[in-house]
Amino acid sequence: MFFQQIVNGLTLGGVYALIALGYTMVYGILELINFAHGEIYMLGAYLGIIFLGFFTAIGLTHSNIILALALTFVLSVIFCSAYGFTVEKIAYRPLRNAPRLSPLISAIGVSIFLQNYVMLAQGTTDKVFPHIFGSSGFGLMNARITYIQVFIVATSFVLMIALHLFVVKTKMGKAMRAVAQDKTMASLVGINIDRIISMTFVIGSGLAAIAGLMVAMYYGLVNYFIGYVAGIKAFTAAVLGGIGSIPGAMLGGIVLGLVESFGASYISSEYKDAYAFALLIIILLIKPTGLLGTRSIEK
Amino acid sequence: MLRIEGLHSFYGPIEALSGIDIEVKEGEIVCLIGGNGAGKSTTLMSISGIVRPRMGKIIFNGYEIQRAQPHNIVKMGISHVPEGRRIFPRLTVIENLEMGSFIHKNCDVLNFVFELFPVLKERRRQLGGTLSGGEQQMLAIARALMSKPKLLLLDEPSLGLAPIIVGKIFRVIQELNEQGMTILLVEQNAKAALKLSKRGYVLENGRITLKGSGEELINNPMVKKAYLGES
Ligand SMILES: Nc1ncnc2c1ncn2[C@@H]1O[C@H](COP(=O)(O)OP(=O)(O)OP(=O)(O)O)[C@@H](O)[C@H]1O
Ligand SMILES: [Mg+2]
Repeated sequence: MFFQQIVNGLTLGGVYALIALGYTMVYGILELINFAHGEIYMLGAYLGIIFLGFFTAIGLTHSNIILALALTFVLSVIFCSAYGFTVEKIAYRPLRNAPRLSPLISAIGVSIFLQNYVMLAQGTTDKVFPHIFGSSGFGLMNARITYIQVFIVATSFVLMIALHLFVVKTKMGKAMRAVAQDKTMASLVGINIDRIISMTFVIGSGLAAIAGLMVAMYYGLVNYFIGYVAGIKAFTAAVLGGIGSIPGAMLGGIVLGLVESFGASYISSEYKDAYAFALLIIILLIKPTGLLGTRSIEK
Repeated sequence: MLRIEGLHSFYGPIEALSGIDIEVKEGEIVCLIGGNGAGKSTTLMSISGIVRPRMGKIIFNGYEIQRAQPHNIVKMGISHVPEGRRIFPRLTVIENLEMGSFIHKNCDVLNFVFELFPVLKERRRQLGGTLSGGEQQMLAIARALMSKPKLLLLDEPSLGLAPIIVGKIFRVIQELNEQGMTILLVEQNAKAALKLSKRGYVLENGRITLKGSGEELINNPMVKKAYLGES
């Protein structure tokens, strides 16, 4: 039971963490809560269904499932990154110097737009994601672990490590941190700020696309509304870990996943969604900057 | 090398620069003095493309740059040490320097700036925000040098520093100039700055009210009274 909840919690937490990273990176750079981010995750799931459907139709899924899946992931990531890139360019960039409320309202607008766009294009009924891994798995320490869970946990951790290395070690990652700390100074050393901001949206959207696809594979069902709940949860995770902090988003996501999974099994699954927010309130009362957040609100 | 012609810059409706003309020739130190709010920082920010001038021209090595993006201006060879140093506080010293050389694929001036400021080498793993004021100023200058500029803009490099460090900073400015760096220097410490400078401009309320060689300005009665605290 205990170990089972750890596995379930890590699966959920890995997904939350991937989405939370997009919130936290954008917040770190623009101090903007990108409400449309949850919709990008939802788009990732839908695009997954569409691309996989296409590969099934042309027979690729049957002949080479690994290739079909890999292509589905790559294409969904590319499309979602393009969406994220475009959203920033159209909805946020023109408002860069506007009062802070304006981009926030624009973000909510984009979110509603994307939801309705998918609703109109794909309908209001649940879409079924093809069963690929099925529910096959193995037993370990009294727990049942499915292959899809292993896949989700492994993918999330690899991506988190990769992102961490990118931000800490590479020139572009350092430039991203420099832009987050002082945009004017960053441009005075020759960094093209617009490029870095676009890059942030592209990376965040790519991670969200992968999260969306994995959740679709996990639960097997997708609807136009999933971005809303997942978005709020992941945003909670980002705040929990300390908004603006990349390790914070990772930790916040994992903690949130574990708390939900343990709460649902040891207390009651009726209140599954409430645990996240109860935890958030408790943490923020004890440490207002979140688990790993250091900075008080600047400016 | 740099010529500013009839430059007007605004913050919203406020006119911070009302038509200034400044020239900096290759190899010179040119100094810009003036009281608080005169528009000195605005002049430098306009050159770097952070503040968009509404009228006038900024010509650098024959190119008009008043509409260019800040990062492209850096690429053309202008590096700006802004007022207040603006070290990236949560990047280490070495990362701050790396950002200084962002426009270059690989940087070969790191040793040079470490020789100029050995303390930075000792502290290279320390977070920029935890350096002392003097160390931060050295880091700010070092970071600006990392882009290998042709023209260096310095905004009040001696502000808030102990006299010993001020001396060190001025020596470095002179040394850089002797090695061929062209420098536009904004200073409150007018005497030291004018002594160092080939020529100077006095800015008041967004207008150039006086210009001349460093020596002329030091001996000008009005400058003496207003900026050198002598009567
Ligand atoms: N971001 C800004 N928004 C609005 N007004 C500004 C801004 N920055 C400067 N100003 C105004 O522009 C004028 C010129 O300011 P500037 O900073 O260029 O002066 P300065 O000569 O550098 O002064 P100091 O010696 O105090 O640094 C001032 O009246 C100032 O209030
Ligand atoms: Mg100033």
